[in-house]
Amino acid sequence: MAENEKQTRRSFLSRLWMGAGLFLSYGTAAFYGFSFLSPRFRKPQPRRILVASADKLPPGASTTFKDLSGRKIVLVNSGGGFIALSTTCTHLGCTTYWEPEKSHFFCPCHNGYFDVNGNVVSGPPPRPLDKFEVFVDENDNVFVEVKEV
Amino acid sequence: MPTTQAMRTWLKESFPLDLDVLKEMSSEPIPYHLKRWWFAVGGTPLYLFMIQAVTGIMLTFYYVPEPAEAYNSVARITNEVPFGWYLRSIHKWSANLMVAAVILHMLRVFFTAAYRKPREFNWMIGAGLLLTSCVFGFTGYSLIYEQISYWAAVVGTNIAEATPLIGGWLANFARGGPEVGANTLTRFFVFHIGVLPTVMVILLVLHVVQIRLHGVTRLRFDERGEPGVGLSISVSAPVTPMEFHEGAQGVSRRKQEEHPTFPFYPDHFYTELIIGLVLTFLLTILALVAPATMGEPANPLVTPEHIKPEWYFYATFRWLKLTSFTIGVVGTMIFVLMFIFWPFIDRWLVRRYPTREISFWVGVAGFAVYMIFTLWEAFV
Repeated sequence: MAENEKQTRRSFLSRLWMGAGLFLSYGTAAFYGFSFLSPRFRKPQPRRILVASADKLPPGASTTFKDLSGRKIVLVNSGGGFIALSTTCTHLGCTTYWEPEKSHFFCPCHNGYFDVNGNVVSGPPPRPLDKFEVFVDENDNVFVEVKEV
Repeated sequence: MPTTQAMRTWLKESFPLDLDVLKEMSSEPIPYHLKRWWFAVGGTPLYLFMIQAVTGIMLTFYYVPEPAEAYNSVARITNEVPFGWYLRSIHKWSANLMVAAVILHMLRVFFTAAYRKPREFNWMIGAGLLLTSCVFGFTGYSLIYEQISYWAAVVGTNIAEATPLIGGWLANFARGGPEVGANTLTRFFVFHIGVLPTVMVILLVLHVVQIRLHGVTRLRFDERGEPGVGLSISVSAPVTPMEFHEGAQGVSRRKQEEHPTFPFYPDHFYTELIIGLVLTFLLTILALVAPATMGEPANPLVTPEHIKPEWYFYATFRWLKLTSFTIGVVGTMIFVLMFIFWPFIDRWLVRRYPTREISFWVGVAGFAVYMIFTLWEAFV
């Protein structure tokens, strides 16, 4: 009986160690595997880019330009100041169109509508179009702050 | 002659197969209702998967998974490579038919309640196979790198991003970065030709092993033992498995003898072979009448004005148009989870309302909504 108990304890401990060893070694391999497959990003830094000269954009006029990752941004002179809006729909990432005759942005993927200030008019988008900070320097140059890639 | 004998002996020694055991394994008793072809649709996805594996490997010889070349390589396959258009069309149509076949098979299993105890796990494997087929379609479609498929990848990965807790990681993992681009194409290619086929084969093997372990479900109407006689599935009395009525232990020996069977090989094997031939013919007709074409190359700056995913995502696409972002995405996930775990929900419903076939009506309503949304998206 005592012999059996000794054997049982021994086999239990050996199973425990083997199990723990397997778990730790395969766990480490899995961790490295997941780390390898999960892309790592550097936090993108803000950067101001020159878009236009203020005198070339009278009230009501607009221009489009691309940010550093190639996405389209619209810069509008609303009369009360400059607004820079992303054209990427906040619903599922499609590109919105400006429809001048109806004065709204339209997303063709799931029928989202935004007004000239980027606010949601109708459809499924959960929030307004992303806005970018606009700066006008002493020489009337208009800069928009975008993120580095 | 001695050489032939020596070869035979060598083969027998190298592959010590017991032919009697093999014969017994392939003579699995099949209930008579499987003589009706619409109950034999379960083998169709397997056949279509094999066609896709063969055509897919052939297409891989020419496809280049790189944004600047992907579209051009598909165009070369379609327009220049001998019989490239045919192989690509067969690959595309077999993928579409496979999703349709899995849906039809699951409908049959659902409305005959064949997912009930002890086959809950096999239903879940089946649901996994349907989801894998859909992801197969989604990744394959994106590999063409045309406008529609590029934007489908954008929308699809953004839906994944909305998954609670792990959404951000999941989307970045699938895309290989914050945007759909070169990494995404490589990853989708790896998923399409490596990861998903492996998952599919594992699930298929598990599915078939489960069918062999439990046997094919015996249905309540299976009483005459004659094919094509007296089958009517009435709306008020859905067909349910006999095992369910007999209890968890399955059908008794006496009952089994009352309900004659036929052997898998050669009877059912021939049925599958005929279905396979019909499918091959159908695929060729589809490839000739509606060959796979090319749209505009992907332009990450401009979303096309008319964008649609593959037909099996139409219902989801319409649902996303009708609802707010959260309800759209979370609702879809709840639907998928309910679909996977339906046998357990059904068990709870049966326990609570034993006299009513609530599952049947839920199935009718669910499928009707799916069809209405699909047709709505197709025609509007």
